[in-house]
Amino acid sequence: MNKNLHTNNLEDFLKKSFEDYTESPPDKVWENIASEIELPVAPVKVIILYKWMIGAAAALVLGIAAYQLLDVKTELKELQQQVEQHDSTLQKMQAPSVKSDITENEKHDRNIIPPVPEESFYNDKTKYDASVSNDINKHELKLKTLPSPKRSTQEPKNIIASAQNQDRNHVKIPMPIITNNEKNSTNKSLETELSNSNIITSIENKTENSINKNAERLAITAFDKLTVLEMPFVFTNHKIELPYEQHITPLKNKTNFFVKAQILPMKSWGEVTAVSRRPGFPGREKNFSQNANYAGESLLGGLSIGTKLGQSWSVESGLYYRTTSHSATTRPEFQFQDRHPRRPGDPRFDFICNLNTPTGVVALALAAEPSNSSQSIGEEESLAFEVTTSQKANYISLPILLQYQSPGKRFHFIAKGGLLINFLLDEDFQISTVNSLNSKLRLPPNIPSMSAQESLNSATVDYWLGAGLAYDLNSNMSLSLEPTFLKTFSRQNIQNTVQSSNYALGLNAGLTLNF
Amino acid sequence: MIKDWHDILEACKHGDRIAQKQFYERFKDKMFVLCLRYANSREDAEDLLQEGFITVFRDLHQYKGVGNLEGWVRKVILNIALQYIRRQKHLFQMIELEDVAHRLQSEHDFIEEDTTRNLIRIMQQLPPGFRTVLNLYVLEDYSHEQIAKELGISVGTSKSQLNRAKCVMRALVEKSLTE
Repeated sequence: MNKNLHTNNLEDFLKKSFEDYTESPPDKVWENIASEIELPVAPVKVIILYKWMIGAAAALVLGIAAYQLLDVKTELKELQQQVEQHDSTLQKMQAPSVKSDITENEKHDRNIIPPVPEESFYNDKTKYDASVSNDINKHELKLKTLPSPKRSTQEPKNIIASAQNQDRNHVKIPMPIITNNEKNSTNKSLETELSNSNIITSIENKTENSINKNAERLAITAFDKLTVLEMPFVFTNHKIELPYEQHITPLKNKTNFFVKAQILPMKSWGEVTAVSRRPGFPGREKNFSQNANYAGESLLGGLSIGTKLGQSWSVESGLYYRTTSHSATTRPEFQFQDRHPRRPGDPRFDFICNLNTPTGVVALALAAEPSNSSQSIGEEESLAFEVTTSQKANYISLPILLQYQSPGKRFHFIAKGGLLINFLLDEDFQISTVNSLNSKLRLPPNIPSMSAQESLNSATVDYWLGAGLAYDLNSNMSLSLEPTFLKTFSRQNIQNTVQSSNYALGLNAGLTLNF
Repeated sequence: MIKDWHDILEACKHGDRIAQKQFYERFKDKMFVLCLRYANSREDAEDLLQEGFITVFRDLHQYKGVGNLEGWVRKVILNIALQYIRRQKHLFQMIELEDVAHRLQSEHDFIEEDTTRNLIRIMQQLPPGFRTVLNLYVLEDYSHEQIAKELGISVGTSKSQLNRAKCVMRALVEKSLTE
């Protein structure tokens, strides 16, 4: 010891003495440690939480989609039934005369048909008019006693006028809803009376104006009382044919829902920021940062469902898969004193910096050693590296978009805006190349620079702006092309003073299926 | 059986006691020497080691795989040791060489054959400030600026204390060996 101390200086002596020296602590130290350390509170893995959220969101969207599809199927079934009903009604209406399952003899047997008046009755105009007026008043009175359901928005007079102006051989007037019993009794009575050929012939010859006037009055009264639907009374040569179908509801319009498949290839660009770190625990950051531009590609595709809010507006949401890749070249700068020695006496060291990337902060450890061991490097010597990095990231994205579509026959102008919430699924960061920009330092062979994700931006939010054209392929399908711009507005910075933005521009192609 | 360090680290993060024991066994000897160099006594070194490993296990999730794991553990324990030093009131109190030499001689277990162990004992007799500056500068490769920042002293104080620490250390070594 004495010899060592005198033949070498104290520093070398101490270094050598401690270089490989080890000493075991007593066992009680571990026992104390084991009793002290509690089960660690694992750091919250935000990415996993977000994966659950993504799963929940996906389940929700799929659930809504499934519900809508089922609903649409049910509506289609109902629609089909209604169409069949209408077809059947139309067939009956197109019959040359009033249909009845009851034979003429049966009608007489049941005393449905009143006795035919004498010929003289038709020759006495006053008598005849009074009789007809009396009949109409009776029906009018009956109609008045019916309950008053909702009114038609259409003016009855207009309907009648319209009906009178139409082909007189087939005038349609909207049909009132009448309950089965009321309808049966009222309409059968009408049918019976008015289908009597003798009466009709007489009416045609003698009292056309009168019957028109009275029929109008009757119809107006009916409209006042009853819901007007699209099924008509049919005046055929002044014969009034009443459809026997009960309570036919109108055909429903298409649903307001649509499904859209789209794909959006994009060019993306933005900034990455390098912040160098001084040694120490846990690694204090130095007040130096440098921005560098990055460029890359991005592809987004997926399905969305939406609902129309009116003639022109609609909202949509769904699930997209988004993949991005980009590369960047940065030049982080250090001073020699920023080095992190690998171990005492080792000439190699790491320069550690944080790189602010679109997916979060990545720590870089840039391995280096003096180019010439005999050359001294001042503690404040400026050292810089050129680092090229590449990064890939995959997201599940949830859009919330509002769309305007102009009216048009085939082509429509569309404008779209909203938010795109991106949940990071996985990412891969690679250091492509590292070069020392100071000749006093070189990269040690066989010791690669390393990177590690320090923090993740598990969720980011983009603005979505797009405008373009849609083309209707048929009544149910349309194609759209929209130049689309995205800008990330969630904060992606290491320190509050460091900001960066990410942009993407692409052409969104979509196929929409309307239900 | 846990096979590689990645598995051990992950298991440690999840509170696996076997993995933690393996981890401790891997680093305990070197880290104990580190603690011995900064502590006033062996008992204090054991306390530092204990506190250091508790901190290591607590903060293990902060280690992201960048850099040497041993270097990271070393930094954590060194930080604990520096906190221990900073808690002491008289970092650079004056000492009488004769008193220190006498204390060293009076210790029955002074082992002449084990140079490093004797050096540790000598270092432990130094005032904490001297010991820390000497350790940080000579054995941890810290610059005077870094030492000044860690201990809250000026760069000039760091330099002067290093010289004095070296002188005291050399004198104590010589004195303890010649008597």
